[in-house]
Amino acid sequence: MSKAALIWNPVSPFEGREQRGCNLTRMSARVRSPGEMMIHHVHQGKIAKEAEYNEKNCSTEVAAIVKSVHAGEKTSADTDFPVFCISPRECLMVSKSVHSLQEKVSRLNDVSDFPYYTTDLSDRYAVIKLSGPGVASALARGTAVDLEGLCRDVGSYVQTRLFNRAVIIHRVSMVGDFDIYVDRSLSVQLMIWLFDAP
Amino acid sequence: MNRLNQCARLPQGGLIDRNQTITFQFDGKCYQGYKGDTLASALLANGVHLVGRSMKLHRPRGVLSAGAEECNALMHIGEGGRSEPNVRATLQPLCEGIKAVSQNNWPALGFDIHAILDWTAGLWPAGFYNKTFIWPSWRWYEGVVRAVAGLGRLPDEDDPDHYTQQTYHCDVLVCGGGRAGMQVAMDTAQSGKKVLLVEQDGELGGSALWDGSDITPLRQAVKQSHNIKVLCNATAVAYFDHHWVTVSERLTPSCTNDARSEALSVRERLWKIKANHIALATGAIEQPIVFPNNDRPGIMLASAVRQYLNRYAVLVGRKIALVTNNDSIYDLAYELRKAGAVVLCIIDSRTAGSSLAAEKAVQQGFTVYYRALPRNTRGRLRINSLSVESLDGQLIEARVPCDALAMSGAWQPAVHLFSQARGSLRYDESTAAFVPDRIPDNMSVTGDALGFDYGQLTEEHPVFRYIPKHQLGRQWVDFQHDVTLKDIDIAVQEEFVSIEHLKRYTTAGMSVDQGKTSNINALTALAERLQKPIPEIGTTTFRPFYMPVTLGSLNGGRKGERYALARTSPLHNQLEKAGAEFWDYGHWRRPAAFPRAGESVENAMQREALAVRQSVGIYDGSPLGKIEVRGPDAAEFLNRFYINNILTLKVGKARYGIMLNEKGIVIDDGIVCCLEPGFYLVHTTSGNADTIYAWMEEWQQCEWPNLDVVICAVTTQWANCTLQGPNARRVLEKLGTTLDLDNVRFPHMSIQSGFVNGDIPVRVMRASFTGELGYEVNIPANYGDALWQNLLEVGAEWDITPYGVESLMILRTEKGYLHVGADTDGTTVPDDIGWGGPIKNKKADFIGRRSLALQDNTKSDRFHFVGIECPSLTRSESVLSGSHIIGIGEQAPAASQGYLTSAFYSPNINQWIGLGLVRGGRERIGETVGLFHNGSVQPAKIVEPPFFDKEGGRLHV
Repeated sequence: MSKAALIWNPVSPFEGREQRGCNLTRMSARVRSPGEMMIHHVHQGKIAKEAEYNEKNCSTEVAAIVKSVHAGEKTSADTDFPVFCISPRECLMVSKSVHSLQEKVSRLNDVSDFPYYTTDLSDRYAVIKLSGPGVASALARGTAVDLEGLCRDVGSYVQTRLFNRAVIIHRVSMVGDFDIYVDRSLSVQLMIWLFDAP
Repeated sequence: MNRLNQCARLPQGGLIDRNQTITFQFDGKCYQGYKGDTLASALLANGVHLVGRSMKLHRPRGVLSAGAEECNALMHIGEGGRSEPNVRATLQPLCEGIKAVSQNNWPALGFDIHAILDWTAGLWPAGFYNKTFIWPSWRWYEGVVRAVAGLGRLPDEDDPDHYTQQTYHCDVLVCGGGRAGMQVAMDTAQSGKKVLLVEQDGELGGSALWDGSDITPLRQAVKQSHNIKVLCNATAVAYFDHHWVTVSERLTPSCTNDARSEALSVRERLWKIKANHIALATGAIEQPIVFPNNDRPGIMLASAVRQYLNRYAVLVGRKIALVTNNDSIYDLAYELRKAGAVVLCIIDSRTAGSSLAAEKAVQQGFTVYYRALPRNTRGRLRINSLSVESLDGQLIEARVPCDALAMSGAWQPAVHLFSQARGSLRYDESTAAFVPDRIPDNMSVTGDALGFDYGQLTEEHPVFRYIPKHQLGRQWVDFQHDVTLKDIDIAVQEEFVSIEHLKRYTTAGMSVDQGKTSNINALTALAERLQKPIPEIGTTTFRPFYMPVTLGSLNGGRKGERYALARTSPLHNQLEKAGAEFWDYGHWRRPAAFPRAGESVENAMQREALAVRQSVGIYDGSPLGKIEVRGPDAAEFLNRFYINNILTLKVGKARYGIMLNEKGIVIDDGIVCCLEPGFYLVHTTSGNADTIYAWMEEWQQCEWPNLDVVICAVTTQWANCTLQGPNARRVLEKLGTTLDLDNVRFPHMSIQSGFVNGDIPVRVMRASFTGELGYEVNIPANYGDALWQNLLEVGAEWDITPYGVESLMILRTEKGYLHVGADTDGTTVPDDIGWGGPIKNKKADFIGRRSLALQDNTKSDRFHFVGIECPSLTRSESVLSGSHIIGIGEQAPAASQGYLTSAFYSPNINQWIGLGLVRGGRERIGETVGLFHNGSVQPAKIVEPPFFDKEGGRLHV
């Protein structure tokens, strides 16, 4: 058989979930189209040595990112390019466009005297988008975090455990839209918790 | 509705809805009640007082209270999976078709054969269990005791109901929705704070629902306040550190199947409340009075009689006697008279003139006996008379015929949450109760929880609880556990003089009400016996939970697919399609094998293991731990973890490595690959991936922050399809990659990065855990599905066979490859597994090295990793991992000389083989030993692995 006959389509971790019994009508929250779940491109960046970090040597863009990293409360102002601080030396950069992200990452790496390593984790993270007035209540079934307090503003986020799975909860609008970043190996079971649990 | 059916129901009054008649069953008989009733009030309305049997002596028991403190009216509710034992009838809302069954009796509640235990009660005093059932063995008695004792019966079927949990954050949590609680909530809400008000009852109001107070305006204000969220049918059951309070909310009552047929109905919700401030308005609990035979059905707490009268319009008796030591019972006397009951007498243990309420009652024509208590009561299944005597023992009335007796032994504040929050208590002589003293920060207490206001109290005429020594009948302290004053006497004689010891020796306070109606009387009795002041005795510890919480709500829906954490591979859908038999390995749900139709897993393992050796197999290796380590100091960093030398690892090469903890114990193994200078890919065992990542981070951040290195876990970023077998290269070549697969340029233990389909990145490592030519193909996880499908498609020419974890275990056992965790235990050091020599060649230090020099780690008779073969056994016989190795010819009990860590029937060698840890094993190669398991001993031989392809030539083809 020839090589051309092979099909190389990417597959979301949620592929086939609806067929496996996920009843979306039972939730006040909903998942947006499956396509939206997988097109987030995630790079994890890490400063090698905190002692060597020097904000003055960075470009304005990088400085903004790092500033947001160290603020640790909100993502960067650019909603198309949120940056999450996930540890004092570590941030997660997300973009809906892989090219945009690669461009930003390459620019980041061009900055001299800034030992910043990035790793493509686009396939490691699954993003579950929840929307609707009942989302905060649904999330409160599985996390002890006060979303009203810690995730009050658009762009704010929190690292926590949701139904005992490590996640990042990111508020993307004031009307109850949240993005949940979760390891893809746990994403299917998390969906079951979110949608099947009453 | 024929009112005659509810003989004790008053024609008017109460907060029930008389337009909604409800039919229910109790012990198979049909009764009727009204919406708004509880099961207890409906039974009382129908004249049913006998509702259960005590746990130990099977004494007849009636409804005692009207709330959570109920310890007698415990029933089995519902049928099938939805049934529930030990439900308090006093809290159970009445709903259509509910079926209740009394507990702990046979053949019937009215005639319980086990009541013979009561007739012979003298044989079973406190401590009887501890003294008697230890000889000759508890097991001699266990069956009988468990059959007779215990309370309730677990349902045989799965509970189909839903339970959920919810977190809630607020400024102020108010526990208790009575007058005081509502007032606190309103005051707080008006300052703009977010308030959660939790009420145990289905209605806000507390005692105001039955004491005649008008709280309608306050209740309306609370309900209309935007800042107050109200939870009714919810009980704050536990306080935890940092102001976390657990609240159990009953959403759908335990009723019939029909009532909760909707799949989405939630039966209970467990709230986890985080509040900045907690206001306790939990009220107080009325206590019984201890006198001879004070446990008969028809003897109730006065507050309960009043609640049934005013809230449910139920008159619990027509001829009622009252007994009290405080003023709170006198209002009940007037209300009973007004309702048409005859109040035969009020027996007040206080002296004449000490109470204005008592004097007023006399003026109103009530008969009040001062300084008196019941001498005894009579009536087998319900009280029918009592006698009265003075406190100095003089008979006052020989027989007072009655059908109910209301008692009030003062009020104990419900300080459970307060005490759990480490608030301290003091004993208040004037109210004969433990009341809050030092209040914890960010907590307040209000209302009756601070101490019940009796009204007419003065220091000269305190409320007190009288506990006489009496010989006419047993005086019950704990109704459910049948603990009497005599039991407390015995405990004191045996020198169980601490209240905590007394509780455990007598079991007083250990019933389902957790001492709400017995603790105070027990400690008062103990104080009297010891002639000590009550404060010196103290209280038992108030532990969570305030009232029983169902396992369902604690579980919170973790059942079925949600029972345990289950990680799925990017290839999961494809594995399912291939017919995988999924087993749990660590947190991962992985294929054990791929049995075909009609094929057992064991046979599939054999077939797959053969197929890999004969042609090619494909395996999902995605869960294999993958960690990227980068930076100028990456090699040095890794070199400190592995017992192997990483510094000499060249770009494109891979090296097997073993990792130790500080004690020198083997904790993980895997392959380290050098992708670029200063860029390494570390493979760990699947189950240890997260642990090793955290281990590396800890050492980097805490011990070696000077090393310029970055660690990133990428396990789930990459899907892994592993090809193993002599045709593996041909399959990969046909797939089409940019890699050079030549045997020389891409030898065993090397790695290459490239692309498939033009721009999809792949990392391919040539390595093997089967002993065959093998390639581990890693691809971004979203393409894993496509990679698996395409490999199956191109591999069809060579009859490519998916194989699972168990098949892999056969293959690696044939090769004698170590599986850390299975073939090692918490004592295994490198020398035990044959790595003592290579370590000596490594000059640099590594974690655990120092511990390897410890005397115990260098002994010659340690357990060594060796092969075990059983040539005399056929395939149909079985050899099990974990079998102990004993001397040949020995029978158990014999000293274990080690154990089998892995054992399989090898289809490639056609015999049972295994690996094991054997004491001094390397020096015993060739020795015949016995494998002991479950009483049988099978012959085996210690050999040197591997069993297959000893030269390893198949790895390098």
